[in-house]
Amino acid sequence: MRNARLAEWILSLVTTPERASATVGDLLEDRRGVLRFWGALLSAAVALLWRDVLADPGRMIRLALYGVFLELVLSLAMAAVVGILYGFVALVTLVISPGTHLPWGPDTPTAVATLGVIASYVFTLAAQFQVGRVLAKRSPGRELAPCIATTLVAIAIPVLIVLLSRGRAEFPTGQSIQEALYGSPATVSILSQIPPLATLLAGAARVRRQRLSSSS
Amino acid sequence: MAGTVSALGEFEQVVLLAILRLGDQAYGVTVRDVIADRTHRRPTAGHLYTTLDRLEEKGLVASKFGDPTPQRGGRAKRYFKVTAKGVAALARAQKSYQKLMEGLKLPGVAHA
Repeated sequence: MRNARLAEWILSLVTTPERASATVGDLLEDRRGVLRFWGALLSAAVALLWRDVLADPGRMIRLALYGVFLELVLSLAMAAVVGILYGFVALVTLVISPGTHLPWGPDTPTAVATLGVIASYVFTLAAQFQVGRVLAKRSPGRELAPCIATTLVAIAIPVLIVLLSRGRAEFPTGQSIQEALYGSPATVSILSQIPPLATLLAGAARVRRQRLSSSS
Repeated sequence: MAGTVSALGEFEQVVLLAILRLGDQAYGVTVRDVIADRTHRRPTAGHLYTTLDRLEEKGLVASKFGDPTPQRGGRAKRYFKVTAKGVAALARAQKSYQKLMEGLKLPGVAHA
């Protein structure tokens, strides 16, 4: 199905609404099948987005570093919140029934550990959404570009650390960064980047839509 | 040098020539068709539209929107026109090619 409105919406994230409309009109006039329509649309959207990333490389790198810094701060905040929550629950448990064995580390029951993983993943996605919004507000007219730059820099930084340390760099927990990066299959590593990038872009897209609707 | 346009890329020249060839009927679909017809290569939508935008940012082409048409779902066409600056840049680029080609015989190619 050629959902022209959806196509126009996607393109208007990376170009002006008038140009997006004219481009979708061209693709509709071309009449070369649904797959080619969407292929051409994505090709145009990706090319226009990449053009925005390269338009001002210095500014994009600064915004990307700021984005990575925000992601790091929010990750630390999440760790702090989880720690405080766990401490609070532990304190309440010990007050109610002193001498209770508190689950921690490998002793954590599977259900609790799963809940923790889900909660931290949801928090990570929410944080990415906010980072996307902040970056978009600092890049008027090119709202989505700093999100792509941030993701690329976030991927490049650990790779650089591994290369510069010749594979000896470790996280504070003692896990090798190289192992964390290359321990899982490449497809898993790439696929795991999609949800955070999608929410990062969703945050930026929201700012872009708000800006467009307020200017029209 | 102040006031000069950076060198034109090969595809930029192709697009400018296609727009000049089409006259008043140069918009996305026709530009793409002329390029495909004359050069036997069909540029991707991404390549074509980013090149058109870049040429407009450089002031080498100007664009204006036409009236919405039913066969395009009520969407307007974006018509392109090569500016005087664009014509000058194209002429300069073509002259450079000609100077490079002067007196050169390409092996296996018939010369007029």
